[in-house]
Amino acid sequence: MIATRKQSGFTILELLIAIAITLALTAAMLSITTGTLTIWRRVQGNFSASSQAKLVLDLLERDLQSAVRRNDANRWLSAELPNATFPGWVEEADPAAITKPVSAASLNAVPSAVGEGIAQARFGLTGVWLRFFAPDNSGQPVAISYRVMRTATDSALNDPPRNPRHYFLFRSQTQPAQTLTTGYDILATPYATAFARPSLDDVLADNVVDFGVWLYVRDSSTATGLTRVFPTAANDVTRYLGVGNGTAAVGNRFPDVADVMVRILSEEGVQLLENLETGRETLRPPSYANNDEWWWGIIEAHSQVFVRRIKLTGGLR
Amino acid sequence: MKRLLSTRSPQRGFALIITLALVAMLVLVVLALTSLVKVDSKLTDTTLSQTKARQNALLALDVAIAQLQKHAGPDARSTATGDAFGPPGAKYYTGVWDVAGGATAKTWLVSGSESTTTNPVALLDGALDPTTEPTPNDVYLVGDNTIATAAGSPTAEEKKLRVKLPKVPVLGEAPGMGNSVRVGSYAWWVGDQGVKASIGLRDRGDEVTYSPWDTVVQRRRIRQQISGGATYFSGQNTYGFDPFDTSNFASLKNLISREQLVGLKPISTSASLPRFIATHFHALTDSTFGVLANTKPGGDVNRGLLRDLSLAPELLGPAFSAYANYRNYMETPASGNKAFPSITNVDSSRRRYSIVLPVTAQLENAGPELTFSVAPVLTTFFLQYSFFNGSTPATANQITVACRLYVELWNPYTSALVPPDDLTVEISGLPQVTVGGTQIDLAADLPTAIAGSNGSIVAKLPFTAANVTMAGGASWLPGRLYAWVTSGAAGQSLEFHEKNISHNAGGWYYPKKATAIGLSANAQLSVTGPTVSNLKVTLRNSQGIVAVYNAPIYPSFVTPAPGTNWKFAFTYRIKQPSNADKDRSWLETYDPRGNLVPTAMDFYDPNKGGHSPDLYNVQQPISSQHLLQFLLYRTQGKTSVASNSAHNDVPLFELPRLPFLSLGELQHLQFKNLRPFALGNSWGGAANRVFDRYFFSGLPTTGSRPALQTNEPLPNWNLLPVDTRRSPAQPLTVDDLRDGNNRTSANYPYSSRYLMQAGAFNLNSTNQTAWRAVLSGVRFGSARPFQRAIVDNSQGSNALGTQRALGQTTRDETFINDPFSGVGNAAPVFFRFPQSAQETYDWLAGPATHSQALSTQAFRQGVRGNNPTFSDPDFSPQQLHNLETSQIETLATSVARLVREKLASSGPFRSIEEFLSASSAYGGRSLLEKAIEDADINPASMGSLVPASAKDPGFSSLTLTQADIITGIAPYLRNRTDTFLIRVYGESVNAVTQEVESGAWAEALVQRTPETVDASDNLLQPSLNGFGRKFKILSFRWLSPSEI
Repeated sequence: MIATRKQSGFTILELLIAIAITLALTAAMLSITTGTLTIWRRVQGNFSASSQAKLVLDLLERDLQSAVRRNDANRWLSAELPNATFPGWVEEADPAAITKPVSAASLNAVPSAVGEGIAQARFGLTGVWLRFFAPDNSGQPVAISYRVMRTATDSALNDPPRNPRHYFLFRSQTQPAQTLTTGYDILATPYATAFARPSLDDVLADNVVDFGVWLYVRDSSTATGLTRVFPTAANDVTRYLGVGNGTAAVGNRFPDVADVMVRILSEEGVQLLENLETGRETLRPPSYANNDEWWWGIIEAHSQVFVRRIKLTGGLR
Repeated sequence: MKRLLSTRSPQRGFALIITLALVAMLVLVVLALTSLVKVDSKLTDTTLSQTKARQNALLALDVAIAQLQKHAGPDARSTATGDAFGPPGAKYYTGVWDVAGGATAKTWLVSGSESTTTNPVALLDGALDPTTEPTPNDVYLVGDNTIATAAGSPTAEEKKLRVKLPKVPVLGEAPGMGNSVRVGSYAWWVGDQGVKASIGLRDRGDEVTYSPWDTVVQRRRIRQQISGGATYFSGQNTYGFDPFDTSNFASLKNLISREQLVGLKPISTSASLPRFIATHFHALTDSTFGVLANTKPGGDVNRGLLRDLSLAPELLGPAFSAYANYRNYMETPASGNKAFPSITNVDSSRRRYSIVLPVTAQLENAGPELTFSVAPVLTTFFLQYSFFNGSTPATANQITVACRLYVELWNPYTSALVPPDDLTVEISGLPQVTVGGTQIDLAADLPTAIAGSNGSIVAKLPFTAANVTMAGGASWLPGRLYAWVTSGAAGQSLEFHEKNISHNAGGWYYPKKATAIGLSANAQLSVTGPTVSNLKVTLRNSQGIVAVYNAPIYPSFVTPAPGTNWKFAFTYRIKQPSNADKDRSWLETYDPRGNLVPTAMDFYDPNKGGHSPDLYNVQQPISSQHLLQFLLYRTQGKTSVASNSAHNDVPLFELPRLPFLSLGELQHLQFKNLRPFALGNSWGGAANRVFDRYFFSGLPTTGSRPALQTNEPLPNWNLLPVDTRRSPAQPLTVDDLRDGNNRTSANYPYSSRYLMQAGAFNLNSTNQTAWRAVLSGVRFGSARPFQRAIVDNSQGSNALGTQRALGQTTRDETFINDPFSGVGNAAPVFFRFPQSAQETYDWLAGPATHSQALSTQAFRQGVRGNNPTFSDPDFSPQQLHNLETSQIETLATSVARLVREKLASSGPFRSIEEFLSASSAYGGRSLLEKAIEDADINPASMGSLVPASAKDPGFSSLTLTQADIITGIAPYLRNRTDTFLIRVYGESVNAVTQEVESGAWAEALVQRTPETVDASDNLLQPSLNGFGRKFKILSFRWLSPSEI
């Protein structure tokens, strides 16, 4: 009996060992799980960003490859760096909030460092506003607009609970009938009106914090055979117009090649940015000299840049 | 045992649970990660296979463009579809022929042709049946979703519109399977856009607002000169769209792709425009473009780019230069202009021309001889001599000569002439005669009053006479005759008549040659000597010789013994149709404007059969009633013949009042030894070479308009400026088209370096619908008034001396109600007189009955009527006359059929000249003329030379000719295509399973441009061995399966 009792009980040591083992195993499990979840989130985030980028770049490629123009005086394409808000762009009312800066930190459209390209460029507060004509799904040419806008997914922005603000890439297009009526001046009033404030129905991708384009024309006098016509400088905010019969001398030739980039935030970055832009996070790490650097620091640490070169095939010169 | 179990189980269970939990967690994590990787991998695979498929499609596109460049890049190529050559599946293949080669195509532009071992004939014969579903080895490039809107249930006819091609394998390397494994496939098809009609063009004539088109009336004549673009619709059967519709007219300005056609307003709300556009995929498109170059082979000095006659008319020689420089001989409108009412602006339809002395030169300095002049035509000439013996007014023993002269001149133009005040007629080469043995030299013995130098008769042709006054404001109306006759004494000037005369003419009597004895009753008149053959009638003005008419050589003859009055005469009447001679071929033998009339000048010769002496021995040139039927006959105003008096103006030829825009307008040129309207018709011969060498841009030679930088159109508005400069510093300007205004530059005539023809149509098209659309390009509103200047004939038409009957118009009406948009008439109009249709004056009111009116009214209309029976309502004064829709349908069907036959027998037309020329295959006609005949558009009498009725106008402007058709469409015609639609397919294939993983379709519109592939090549005449002119991609887009 005694022997039986001894066998059925636990010593303190056993219990302690068991508890230690359990704790260790639990910790290991937690660690594995956390790590796995982190990997999961990262992979998921990368996958999501890649998918979004693919969607964006595929559409851009399709649109730009088939961009239409004729050899006339019409302005068939417009690219600009507004670097300013526009109707629909939502800023934070809280002065402590730190949103995308309108400063030199955001505008470096043509990086000067050796080896840097469009992937390292920053295209201002609102990115590049790219407008041109291309066929829609039915093959009929329509006016198309690509631009980034910071807004919420609910139009009732100020109603509680507050909807999170996101940076969206919009792709807006007009109806084919509009093109037949209005023609092919991309700056014509009906198009300007249609594209002035993108509709939420036109959201192409979420968490696109920057969108940029470099435009080139063929130039046999250069080593690469191309000359970049937009942007021409790091802080070039001049609107570039691709005119059907434009010439190099007047700087308005319709481009032959485009480099496009999109910078897409990871989910983690989204959360961090949300904290920053809503004022929940106010303690700036000492490694950042100012809030602008802080904002871009989070972005660069938690975003991916996707780049593609696209040949604009159509048109006579 | 039981105890052991009871004591050991808890320990094991605890570890087991923990182990299992851990394992489960790990498995879960692994599974989750595996799933994620799997999904990601699957997506990546899909993306990869899609990318591969697209890459293969792009490979196909590159191959297609390379083949196109290789075979169709050079100028000396003709293209046509496989309709006439292969099985049904090859109907929409595009073939390329070397113009120097035979009837067999050089290649067919479909996948498979890129192989060096492929035989073009085998490729064609191997075309797949389009009506059956594709096997895994073939693919539709034009499928049901393209050619039928009721996708999934195409009709049997719609299935024939498909294009199905075998896939070409793409071989690659696969692990463990070698390097020749099929890893993908592609297919491509090049569609010939040029054989389709371009129905998306908008008539931009209203945008040509610079001189001389700076008034609405001027610029609206552009639509008469050149087609406003192909059009195809039917209100009756409710299909298509009317480009004249106001909303469509506005939309067409912005239409740049075929897909946009569905956005236009259909002719009927119940008609499906998308379905219409889809089912006419192979017949209609928005617009094609053509390089302004010919297809002449190497060795031809004229090969290469076309030259611009608007800039350099001298290329056709000095005679053409003089003709084209219309401002030099057209009266300038100004206040104080002598016309009545005064012509004060360029819009007037009563513009007048001054007489121009002949300029003769070879066309292009090497072709047929061309003459230009603005001169009245001698239509009737009558010089009669009577010799009296002793009777009054002669005295005894004298032979008295009585001379009667009748001269009738005709304005053959559709425009008025300024009545000349210095016109004279000179008759030289008068013969010697012997009357009863007494010799009389008619030249040497002329009275002083009418004696010119060298024994010729010289008489003024005044526009006033005792009984008729041609007021100062009068004009020599279009197509009108005036006559001059002797009236009395030899010193008296000729008497002017506003029309033909039918009363006895007076004569110049002058006593001559006293004879020793009276002539016996048996004395004979003999006309002898070589001088007989030299009779020459010369029209002069103060500047020189206007026209010369030479009589042929005649033998001497002796008259029978008539008694006391001996007569003989020279007479000449222009060849013309009449009820008397049933001759409807009056313009098929010679040009009435020609100075030399080899057989029409006649004189009395009893030995010649078939001539009535009545014509020579009566005192009037015409007396038989049947002659009143003559088209050129205008009887003197008398009540008894009033019904014949008012409608006999016959304008036949046009003088330009605006710059030419179509080579077809040159049908009015006058060539030596060629029947009129030669250029553009089958009898033009070498003259028709101009269609392969030149074009008219309409560009002014000075000034800064059109402003190309702001899209202002050229006068020939369908010419599209294209900047082919390698490194332009500034946008293209009109000065660039004129080579910097350097007229001495070799490049000066070559504005074609920077221009392309919108709406270019390949005349090798076998598509009936396309031909109908192209032939229907010259259209006007269905209710469009067509107004002309008015001659008020309500008063005084039957009385001599009334001003308004003598060339004064009372109203000057123009296109006051000719909108560019609105309700259009589906059927076309063809103009013989595209620039001057408004100037063929209308009679405001004529006799109530005018049984002969129609035949001459037809000339004044200057357009083709729409009713083959020529009923009077069709000639109401304010209507244009178009073909019936059924007529144009029939014509198009005939043309398409004949082209198909031609292709099958000898391949495509190698030049436009060949298309226009006569061929034994068509009974000595051209293809188009044969089609016109087959379509039975012209009255039957035109072919049989027997008039159906007195109303039959003969070879008038109502008779539809090839040149009439060509006038409107010449700018668009090409014998090759420069715009092609390429459809490509690419797919990725699993190397192991050989299953198709992904497919992609794309469509590209490619365009040949004037630019050469080799930058150092000669743009005007590219190297014969190179790739010719560069193809560029006009548009590109990926297609979804739902678009195939």
